[in-house]
Amino acid sequence: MTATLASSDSVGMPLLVNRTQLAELATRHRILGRGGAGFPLARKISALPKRGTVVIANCCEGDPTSRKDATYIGNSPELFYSGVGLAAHALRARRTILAVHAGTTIETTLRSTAPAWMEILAVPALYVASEATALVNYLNTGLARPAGSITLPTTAGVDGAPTLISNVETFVHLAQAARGELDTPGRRQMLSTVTTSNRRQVIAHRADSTVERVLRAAAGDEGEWILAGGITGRWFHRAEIGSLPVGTLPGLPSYVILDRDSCPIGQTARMLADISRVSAGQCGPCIFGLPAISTDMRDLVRGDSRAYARLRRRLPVIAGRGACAHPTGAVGLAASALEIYDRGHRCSARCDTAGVASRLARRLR
Amino acid sequence: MSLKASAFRLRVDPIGCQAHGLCAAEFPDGITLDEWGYPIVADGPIGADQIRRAKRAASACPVLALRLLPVG
Repeated sequence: MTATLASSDSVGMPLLVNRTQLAELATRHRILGRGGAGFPLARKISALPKRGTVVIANCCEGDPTSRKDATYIGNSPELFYSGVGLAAHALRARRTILAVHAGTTIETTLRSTAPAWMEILAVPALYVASEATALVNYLNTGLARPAGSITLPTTAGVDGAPTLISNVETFVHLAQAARGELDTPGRRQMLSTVTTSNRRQVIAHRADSTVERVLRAAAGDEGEWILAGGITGRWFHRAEIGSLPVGTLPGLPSYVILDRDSCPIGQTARMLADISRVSAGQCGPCIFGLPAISTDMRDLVRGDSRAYARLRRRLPVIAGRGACAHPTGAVGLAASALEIYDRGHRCSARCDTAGVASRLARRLR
Repeated sequence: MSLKASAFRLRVDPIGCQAHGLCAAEFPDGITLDEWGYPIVADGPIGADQIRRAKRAASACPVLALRLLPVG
């Protein structure tokens, strides 16, 4: 299980489908969004008109726990471009945009390998700038932050045009489906990122592989707490998540194995401080809520037992009330740390130290 | 156009909202404020008997961040 995909020798082969056939491909192969939300691609396509659309491939990969998109673009760029081209042609796109964080290695790769007719949009390398409505907002107004609009991008996106925004891996799946190379959802190849205290690896595996199998393939630490689903994912005990098939889990397929010396609640307190720091600072739940729960979690780690009640009161109030999912993600992470507290875990002075998860969160911008 | 009163819901624009809190004063049964003064709007459609208060709440917002929208 290494991070290589069969490269295709059919570069440039005209794989042309129309909009209806594109939607059929997405439906038949049950292709889902692979940026973390898992939204069915067919439903996005069905919402688009027959022409005049904008297609955006989101190549930002802003989550510091994930390197799958960089790996797809680095190892099989032709497959990715083929998927983007397929969608752009079928939707008669008037613009086809590869959105990427400025100054990253992904940007360098795109600039040296992308077909000339695709636009490369370098967006500020900020975590919240890669959210779908933030990309549209940046193109329309120059502000690289979530727009929180009532209108979906598929209705009115870039320049008011209906816009399809999907993750790199989604376009790769589309290209594979068009070539008859995409397996059923359970047997499908996918890439997961596994991070331990001393290394980060991208593992290629089947979607029905268990989490434990993927963790072992990375030959990582034997720590018992796993951060799954991204930097605003959730903590799981290894025994509890290990037997689950990776393909059925929500969020990004990324796993951070916490070193044995680190405490998941202590890590969460530090991570929340960084998650709060990088918010767009536009809505009440992020402006006031995230700093509050970040402080509460730190207080809990430092032995203030009343902080638990404050968190239990505040978490449900903050979730779901921002313009984007940022505060909701932070609340999910915090809630999973409280579940560990509920199991009887109590912090000591050594819990308030940096670890692999908090070091990744430190990298958020 | 005649829409049933039950087919409306309130929606906060969380970016526009500046926590003035006037909406909650106008429609306390449907809107409460969190500890920082931002509105928490009850889910679901608004009953016919409350639609007038909901409209007043939306009109009271000084930054037009609360809207009464048809459900769906």
